[in-house]
Amino acid sequence: MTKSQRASLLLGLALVLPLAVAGMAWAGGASLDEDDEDQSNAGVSFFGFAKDLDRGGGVADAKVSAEIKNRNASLVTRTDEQGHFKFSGFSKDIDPKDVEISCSKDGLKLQRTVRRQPAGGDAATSIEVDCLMVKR
Amino acid sequence: MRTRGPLRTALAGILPGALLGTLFSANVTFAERLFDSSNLALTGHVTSSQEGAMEGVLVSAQRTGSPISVTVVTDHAGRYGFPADRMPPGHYALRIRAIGYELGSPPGVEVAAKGTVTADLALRKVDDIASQLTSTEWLISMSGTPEQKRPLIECMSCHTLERVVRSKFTADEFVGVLKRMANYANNSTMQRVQARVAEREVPEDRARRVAEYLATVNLSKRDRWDYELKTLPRPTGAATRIIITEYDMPRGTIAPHDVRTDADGFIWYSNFVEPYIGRLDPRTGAHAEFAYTLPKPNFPAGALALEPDHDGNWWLAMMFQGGVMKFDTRTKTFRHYPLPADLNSDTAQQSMVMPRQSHVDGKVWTNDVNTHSILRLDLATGGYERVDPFQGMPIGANRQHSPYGMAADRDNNLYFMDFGDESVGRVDAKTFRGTIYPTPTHHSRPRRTMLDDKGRLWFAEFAANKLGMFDLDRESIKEWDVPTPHTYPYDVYLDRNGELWSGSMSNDRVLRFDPQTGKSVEYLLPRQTNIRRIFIDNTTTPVTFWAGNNHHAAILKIEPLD
Repeated sequence: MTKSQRASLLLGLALVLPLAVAGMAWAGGASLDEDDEDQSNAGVSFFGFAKDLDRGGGVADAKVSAEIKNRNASLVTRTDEQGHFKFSGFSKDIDPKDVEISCSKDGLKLQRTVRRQPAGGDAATSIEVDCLMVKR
Repeated sequence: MRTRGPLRTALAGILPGALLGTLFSANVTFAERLFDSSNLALTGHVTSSQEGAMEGVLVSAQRTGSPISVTVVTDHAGRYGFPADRMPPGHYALRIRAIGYELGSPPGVEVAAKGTVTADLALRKVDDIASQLTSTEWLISMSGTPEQKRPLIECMSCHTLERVVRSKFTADEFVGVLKRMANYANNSTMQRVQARVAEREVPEDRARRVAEYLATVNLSKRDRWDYELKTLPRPTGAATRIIITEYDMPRGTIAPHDVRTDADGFIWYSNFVEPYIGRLDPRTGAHAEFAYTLPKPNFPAGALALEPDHDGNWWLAMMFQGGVMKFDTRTKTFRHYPLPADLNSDTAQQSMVMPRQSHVDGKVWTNDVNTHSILRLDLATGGYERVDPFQGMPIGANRQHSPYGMAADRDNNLYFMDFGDESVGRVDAKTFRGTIYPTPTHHSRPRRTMLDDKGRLWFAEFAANKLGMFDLDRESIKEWDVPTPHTYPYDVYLDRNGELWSGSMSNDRVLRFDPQTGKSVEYLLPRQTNIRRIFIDNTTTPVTFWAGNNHHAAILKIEPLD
C-alpha cells in the first residue's frame, strides 16, 4: 500500500469510525474486525525511562503513573528491565500539558521529571518524559 | 501405609505406577476412597488395529434413563475402570472420544450390584475426522494470518467454527450472513436464537474484509478443504487421571453460563437464554428451576453473571432485560432492580454484577455494555450511578473500552476487566476515581476474574491466550501463556493449592496450571463443551472443578485423581 493510499484509508476510517465502533460492539465490546496498525483516533502518547541518578542506568519495575488534570482517572504501568515505559495515545481531547507523569520505586524518590520532544519525533504524537530518581 | 490386595491389583491396571506411589501414601486418599468401595463396576481395554493399546481415550457411561454420565480415561496400557460407587446397577450405554477414531458398534453393558463387568473396546479409524475437530483445531488448521482469523473468535459465542468452514457461502453471501449474525443477541445458542431489538449496522468494508477471508477457508469453491486438518494430541500421563461427571439438563435449550456451589452442596447456575435460575443437586441429579418474570418481554431473555452476596443470596446480571436481579435463597423470591429511564434503552445490556461486598456500603456494582461504562446500584434507593473510569484514556483503533469481569475488595472498591481492550481497572468506592492498568500484552481482552484472599486478582486474557495476575498492593501484572494456541480462556480460578484452573470456549479442554512451576495439565472433555464461568470447590479433597456446558445443556464436574 502506498503512502497516499494509506492516508486515504486512514481518512476514510476516521470518518466512519465513530459509527463503526458504535455499531460493532459484540459480546462485551469486541468488534468484528480490528486493525492494530490504525491509530487514527489516538492522541498523544508518552514514553521514557525511569533513571537512577546515583547508580546510573534505568530503574526496572518502577511504578509509573499518568495523571490527567481535571479527570478523575489515572493510568498506571511499570517500567521494563531497562527502565523503559510507554503509554499509548491518550484521547485526542486530552491536552498533553494536562498529563503529568510520575514514578515511584521502593528505596528511591523522584527528584524531577524531564519532558522533551524526541529526536526526530513529532511532538503532536509523542512526548518523551524521563523520571530522574535518587536514593531516598 | 494401608494396602489391600485386590484393590491394589485392580488399581495397578488403571493408574500409572507413578501415581500409585503417591496414591498409597498417607496424604492422598481421594483415589483410594473412590476405588475402595467394592472395586470396579466396569473395566476393560481400549485398542485399535493401528495403535494397539490406546492411552488417553475417554470412555463415558450413561445409565438408561439417567441424566448423569461418567467418564474415565484410559491409561498407558489402554485400560479404563469405573468405580462402583459411580455406577448404580443398570444398563449403560458407552461412548468414547479419541480424535480420529470411533466405536464401531457402541456396546451396552449391564452393571450388577456386585462384581465387575469387563468390556473391551475395539476402535476403528474414521474416514473423515472433520466432524471431530474442535474450533481450536480448525483455527490451527485453516490457512490465513492471525489477523484474518481473529474475528472468528466472536462466532464461538454461539456456535463452533465447524459451521463456518462447512458452509458454502461466497464472499458476497457471507457479507449478508455477517450482518445477520451481528443482529443476534450475545445470549443466543443454536438451540435458542434470539434477535436483538435494536438493529446494529455493520460497516460494509469491514464485513467484506472478513467475508472474503471466510470464503477462502470454507467450501464455497471446493468440495474439500485445501488445508491439512490438524489435531491436538490425545491426553497422556497426568491428563488421564480424572473422573468427569456430566449432568444433562432436562431441556436442551438450557444454557448454563455461570456455575456456583452453595454451602449446602447444591449447584446453582444462570441460564443464559431463559428466564430461570437453576439448581442441581449433584448427589442425586435432581434439578430445579426458579422462574422470574421478564421485565422486558420483547427483548432477549436470559442472564449472564451469577454472584452471591454476603448472605448467600444470588444476583443475576440481566443482559438485555436491563438491570440486576436478586434471588432470595430463603424465600425463593426475586427482586428486580430496573435501570432508570435514561439508561434503559433498547441496547442496554448488563452482563456483570458484583454484590459480594454490598453489606459494607449498600452498593452493588454492574456494567452497561452499551455505554461501555460501570454502574453502581444503591440498594436503599434502587437508583443507579454511572461511572466512566476511562476518561481520556488511551484506546486502540476500532475498539472500545468495555468493563466486564468484576471483583470487589473488602471496602467494596471495584476491580474490573476491560474486555474491549487490554486493561485491569479499579474504581474507588468513595470517590469513583478510576485507575487503569494496561496488561503487558497488547490488546489482551481480559475477561473474567477472581480475587483471592492474598489480594491477588487472577484473570483470563481471552485474546492473548494467557492467564494473568494483578497484585493489588504492588499494582503490577504478571502473565503466563496457556499451552495450546487458540485456547481463548474465558475465566480462571485459583484453588487452595495455588493451582490455576481455566476453561475454554473453543477446544473442549480444561486447563490446570501451576504458576509457581509453569507446569500444566489439560483435561480433554467427553463432549463438545463451550465453557464460560468456572468454579472450584475447595472444600473437597482433591478440589472439584465445576462449569456449565453453555451450548449443550449440561453441567460438568471434574475430579482430578491427584
